[in-house]
Amino acid sequence: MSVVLRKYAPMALLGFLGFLMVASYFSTIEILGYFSRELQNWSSIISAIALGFAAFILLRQHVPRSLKGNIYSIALVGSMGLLPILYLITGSTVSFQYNWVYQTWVGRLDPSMYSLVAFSIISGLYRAFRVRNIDSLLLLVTAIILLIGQVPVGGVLKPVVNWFLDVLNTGGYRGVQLGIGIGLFAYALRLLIGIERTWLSELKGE
Amino acid sequence: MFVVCLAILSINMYLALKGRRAKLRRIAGLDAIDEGVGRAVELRRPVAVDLHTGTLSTVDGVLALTYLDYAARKAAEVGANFVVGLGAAEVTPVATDIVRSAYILADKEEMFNATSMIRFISPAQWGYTGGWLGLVAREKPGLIFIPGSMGAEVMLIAEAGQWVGAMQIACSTSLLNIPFLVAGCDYVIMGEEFYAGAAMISQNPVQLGCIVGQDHFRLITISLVIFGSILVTLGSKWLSNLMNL
Amino acid sequence: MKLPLEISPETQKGFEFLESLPKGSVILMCYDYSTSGMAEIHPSADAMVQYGMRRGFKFIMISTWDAGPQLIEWSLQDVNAYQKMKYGEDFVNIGYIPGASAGVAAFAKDIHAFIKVDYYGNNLKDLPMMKTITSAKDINLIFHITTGGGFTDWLYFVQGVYGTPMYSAAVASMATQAIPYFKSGQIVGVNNGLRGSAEFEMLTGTYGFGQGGMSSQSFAHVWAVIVIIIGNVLFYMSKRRRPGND
Repeated sequence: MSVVLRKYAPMALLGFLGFLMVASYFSTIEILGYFSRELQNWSSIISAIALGFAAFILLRQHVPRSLKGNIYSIALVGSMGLLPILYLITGSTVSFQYNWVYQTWVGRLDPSMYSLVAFSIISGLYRAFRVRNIDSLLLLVTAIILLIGQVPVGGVLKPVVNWFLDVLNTGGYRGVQLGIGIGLFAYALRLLIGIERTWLSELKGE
Repeated sequence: MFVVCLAILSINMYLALKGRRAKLRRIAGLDAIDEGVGRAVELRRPVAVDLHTGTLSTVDGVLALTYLDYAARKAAEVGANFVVGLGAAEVTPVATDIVRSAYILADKEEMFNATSMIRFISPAQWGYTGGWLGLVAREKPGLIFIPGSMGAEVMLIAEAGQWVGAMQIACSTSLLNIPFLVAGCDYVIMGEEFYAGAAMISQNPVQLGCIVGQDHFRLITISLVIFGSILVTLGSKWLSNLMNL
Repeated sequence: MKLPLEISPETQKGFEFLESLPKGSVILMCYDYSTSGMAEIHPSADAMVQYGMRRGFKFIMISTWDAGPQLIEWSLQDVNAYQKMKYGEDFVNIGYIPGASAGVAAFAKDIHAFIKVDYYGNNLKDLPMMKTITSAKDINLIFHITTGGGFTDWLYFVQGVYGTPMYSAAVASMATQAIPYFKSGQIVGVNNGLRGSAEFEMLTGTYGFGQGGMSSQSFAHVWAVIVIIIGNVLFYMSKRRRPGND
């Protein structure tokens, strides 16, 4: 594939479409608004296609393994096929059977995975909140106040928690967000004008 | 403000193009990648990169590829084994290309194996997390590099590396993730450092000039914030009304 | 076990805004979460729909997460929506919209240009309540329920552009991100995790898992503090046994 197609065409497309979107945000010209709506629609279509592509890749990886007897791959392929088969049989994603499988299986397995976070948080708390210096002491005290103050048993600490959230959290958050916003703008500009090209994975000399 | 920011960035990039060199402080997390790759090679353990479920439709997802490229080149230079965990299907071919290019550039193309190095796990949040936990437990990486953004599973991901004794370097702009990553990882490239780090990796003078421009714009913004706070305290909404135009 | 609960200012202010909305107000319910986050924020969704049914609000259900449509169904079943409201006149289920921020922006700009059919395959333009709702300007409140995703999309591309009021029911880790926007007036209210759901249930006069789960959460938090203290005690004991070692 020539360098023009591999490198310059994607960069030109990215820059042109990006500046089109920026221009449509600031202008009231109808044709620009039409293009930006169409681009947003196409972006949504590509995201939907990516979901299907993901399912295809998973099947491509796991069907051969399940044919070899890997029980985890069998479970994955089986569960991937179950809900579509139910949909084909019942003709609806709001049927009793479909909802029952979703609520009983997915609705229980997902929160079970989420609950593992509790164990990892406890493990992290045990290690990360050791008092070594004044900073870690402040962190420890803040953590204890917030943990207890956020639940009914720590009702007396609620005004302190509100102050932490309203003043310290808000101030810190806004400062970091300001930096992130400026950095994001600069990075987007570098992408649009073609300075940032790592996503093209060009080889040296290209 | 958009026009002012654009102007300041453009001026600084132009000055950089004309030869003005910026002196920037080092980002500890970036320097630690070299250290971590070396550690992984000594321990004969792979380098693992967690791109998570970030897609190409988010800036963070595209930015993570810059860091993937950097880590892959460092690993390829020293001949370290490399594993990438992915949750987005459309990123898979891009990541494959990036890692392959890194090994080709290091004259170690024979070491590259797409099947074992590029692991598409799952686009589902918890499906990916379960797969990544298994990957870490089996492969026991010496360095885990986490440039991807994630959700509630961040603590699980961070602790998984701790349990196998890996050195962990994380990057994130998400304020949901940063506290947990700071608690669980050895180095964290947080917030704006994530974007600036991409420019520092490239060592492109124009990109470095862009970072200088960001700092100049930040100074202007801070000045406006302080000035505006003083004005509002004194009862004048002149600046607030001007910014709302 | 019901424990006494003080209402947080962000939940109180949000509820006061809801009370100020007239009958017939259009509420966009965004279910941007999956089953993993249900325990914390699903009670907020149920409480909002139940409260809205009493107040005569109209609902548009939508999600930018692929798992969202099933949660919409789950929520509608929890509150017996199909028996208590008329589909097409009182509520519409649009289901999943792809594209994250691009999808949200396109939806807000022109709903009928972006979405042709609802979740059940009905032509959107044929549904009575959708004849007068064409963009974000026709929506009175976005009630955004999230574990993290989609918050900035709706905030930047809908609330920021069209000024549509937004209420955030978020998990506790996400709520710290929402509170600064509440303080600046960009969001009218925040339900902070399970506690926020419990407070919201109290204010709206419903009783669900939100209030029921507070006792469990109280014990969990107390246990977390005990673990921190144990960690520090063991750390200092090991330091004493091996002086100079960290």
